Amino acid sequence: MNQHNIIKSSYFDASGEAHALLDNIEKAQADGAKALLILACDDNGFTPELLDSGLKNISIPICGGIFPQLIENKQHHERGSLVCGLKQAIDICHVPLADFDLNSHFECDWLPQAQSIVVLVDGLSARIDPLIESLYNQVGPDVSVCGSGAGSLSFQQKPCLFSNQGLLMETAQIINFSYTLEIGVRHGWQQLAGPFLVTHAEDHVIHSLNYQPAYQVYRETVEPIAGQNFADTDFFNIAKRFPFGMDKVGEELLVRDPIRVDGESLVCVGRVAENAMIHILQGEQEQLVAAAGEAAQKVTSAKDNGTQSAALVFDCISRVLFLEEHFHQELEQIQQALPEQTPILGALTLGEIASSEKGGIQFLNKTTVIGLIKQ
Amino acid sequence: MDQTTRTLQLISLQHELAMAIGLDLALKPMLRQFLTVCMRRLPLRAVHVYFYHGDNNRMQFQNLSEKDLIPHYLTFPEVMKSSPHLVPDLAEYLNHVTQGLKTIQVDEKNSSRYYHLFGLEDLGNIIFECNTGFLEQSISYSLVPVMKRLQAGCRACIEHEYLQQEMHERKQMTAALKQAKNAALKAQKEAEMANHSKTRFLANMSHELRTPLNAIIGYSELLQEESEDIDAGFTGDCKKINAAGEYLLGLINDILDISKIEAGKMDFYPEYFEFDHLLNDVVNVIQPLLEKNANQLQIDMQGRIGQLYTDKTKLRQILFNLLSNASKFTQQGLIQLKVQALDKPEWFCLQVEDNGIGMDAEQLDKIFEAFTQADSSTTRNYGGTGLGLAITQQFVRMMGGDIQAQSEIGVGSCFSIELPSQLCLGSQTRQ
Repeated sequence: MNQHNIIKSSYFDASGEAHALLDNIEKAQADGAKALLILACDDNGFTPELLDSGLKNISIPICGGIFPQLIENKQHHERGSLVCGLKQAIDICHVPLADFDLNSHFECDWLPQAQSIVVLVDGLSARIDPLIESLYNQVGPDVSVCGSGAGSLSFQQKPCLFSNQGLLMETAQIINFSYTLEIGVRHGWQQLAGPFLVTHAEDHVIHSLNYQPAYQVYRETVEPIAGQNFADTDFFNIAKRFPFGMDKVGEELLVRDPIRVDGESLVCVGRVAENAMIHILQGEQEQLVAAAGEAAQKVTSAKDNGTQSAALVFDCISRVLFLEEHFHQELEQIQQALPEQTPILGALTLGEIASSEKGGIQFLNKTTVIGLIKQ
Repeated sequence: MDQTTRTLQLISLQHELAMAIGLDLALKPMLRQFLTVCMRRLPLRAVHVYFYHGDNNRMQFQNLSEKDLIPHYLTFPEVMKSSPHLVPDLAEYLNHVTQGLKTIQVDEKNSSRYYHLFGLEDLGNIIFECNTGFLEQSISYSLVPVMKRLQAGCRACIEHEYLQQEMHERKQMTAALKQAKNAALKAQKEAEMANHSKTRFLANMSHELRTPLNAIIGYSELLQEESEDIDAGFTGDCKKINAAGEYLLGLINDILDISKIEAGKMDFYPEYFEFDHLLNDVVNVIQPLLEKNANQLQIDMQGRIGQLYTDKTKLRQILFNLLSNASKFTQQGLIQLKVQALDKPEWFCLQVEDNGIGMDAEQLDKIFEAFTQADSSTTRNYGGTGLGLAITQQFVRMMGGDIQAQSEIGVGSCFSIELPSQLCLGSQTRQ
């Protein structure tokens, strides 16, 4: 158990057993936690059948998610769960995403007073972009927002958000985080080919590029560079190294991860706008690691002099897949940039969420998002 | 970044923004989609849209000189709605930036705000609010043609919404008209049904009244004869009963006739007959009425009418009505009956002229309406129901002819009818 000025207590279980998680929840409650943040690995195989009855009996607010992996300081775990008992109660608002579109609006009475917000979503929902646009419409540019997509790297959608109602799917969890959050965002991916005009796209599916089937264009561009054929290799094994990037004036390219092929269309994590110009990107190990360090430096260089308490890190799982055994360097870079003894907790995620320095909230892919909590 | 990449980036930006215009025909959703793309592609805190003198329902195009109001039309994010009001004299800028671009920096206590104002001519303005500095000049100026396109898109939406509104109003009006028409048709149907009920009632009542009246008239005649035979001394009383019965029978017959006409049940039975014979019959019948008011009848035959093929009974009733009216409203005067074969073959004219009390123009207007006499005092002084002339006019018209009346107070009246010699059923009034 670790003591902290924001976190009352935290318990990590490496076994990934459901009863161990429920035991740790009980311990955190016994310690006097006012709310719980739970981070768990998909590999644990948590299901509503295993957890819902236990979660429904918890009287304090619960938030959190099931991710491909979780981060605890310099470690990333493929199995296990982390229970953080928070010293202060939190407000949580759940937004069903099934029918959420650009004209949708969600009601949340505490939102106008919120100072900083953490958003956890079902990362395989196709409605994340309309949700964060709606959120920005309500909170504006002066509220810090960070968060991520939860879910499984198998890309099978399943219940992945912890709540007092049990595990939730196709839902967004908006958390009123009553501390100051400094946000740092970087990815380090560089342009490789393009630009391509997105001539037909729907939500997170690209149907055509330059009026040609999207998969055909992507395949013809990537195969010679990758030195591999999609015909005899799993699509994502190649595609994880060659994401798409969309221009945003004055900022890093917005990355979109193509995760699978559907006919001649490419399914991405996050919306790709029709009529946008996109590039195919490539990554270099050094640049990606350096970018993660820059994100951490960005939060520590902020003018606000509040007491730095902990860092929330939402790092894309595909960075692990790309960096492989070098990924530990990324976490080290982050820790080195942060003030000493700053506890790090977070997850390796399916998409990241962060408010942009220049305005707007973005749903990102293949990116490192760091939220430094200050009191 | 090299020049080619830079140019490509600008073209890509212009393309995406331009393609985001006009994706919806409703103004707010169309603008909302455009603003979302602006926010996604540009480093903006907020985008504000101002329109002049507009509301959601109907946008008015105004002269620039009339721009004294600046309604806040749409902002993304909504929470920033009041933000541009922080800019001093912003209204003044908005009034002057009608096209192109104006950039404004506003310094506050701890920070600065940067605004790009794009003019949308007489529609209003779009304001881009930046957090950390102006957009690069090449970018902001590349947006000017996009804003021109947006302006055209807004106009199309406004016109569309206006037309939609008009169509909606027209639809409502059509529905109201249809409703009114249905109500009128219903009322007409009800009125017709009521009229038919009335007519049926009157016809039934007339029949029920005539049966006992015939008995009264018949038996009073018999009593009168018997009284004369035995010199019983109540001959006068019997005459009065008989006269009253006859009057009542005439009245009932008139009511029955008008009811049949209104119900469209009046039948015509044409037959061949000599006009002279009919004239003699009528003159004989009218004689007692002429004598009663000491009037003289003068018949003027202009040309020979000869044989007619028409409804003899109706023609007799027409002539009788005109002559009896003339007799009734004339005292010790002259009644002239002019019979004329018209130049046009197969037509003839009957004219009845008296030098009786006459009528003024107002009274003349109403004389062919049922239950109307010149005035209420006429009924009291001269008797009658006011149905005679109405029946006469209807008969004449149904027989294919027409009737005209002229009159002058204290001078007399003149009624002229023109009729075809051959009755053609279903014939119309002669034009």
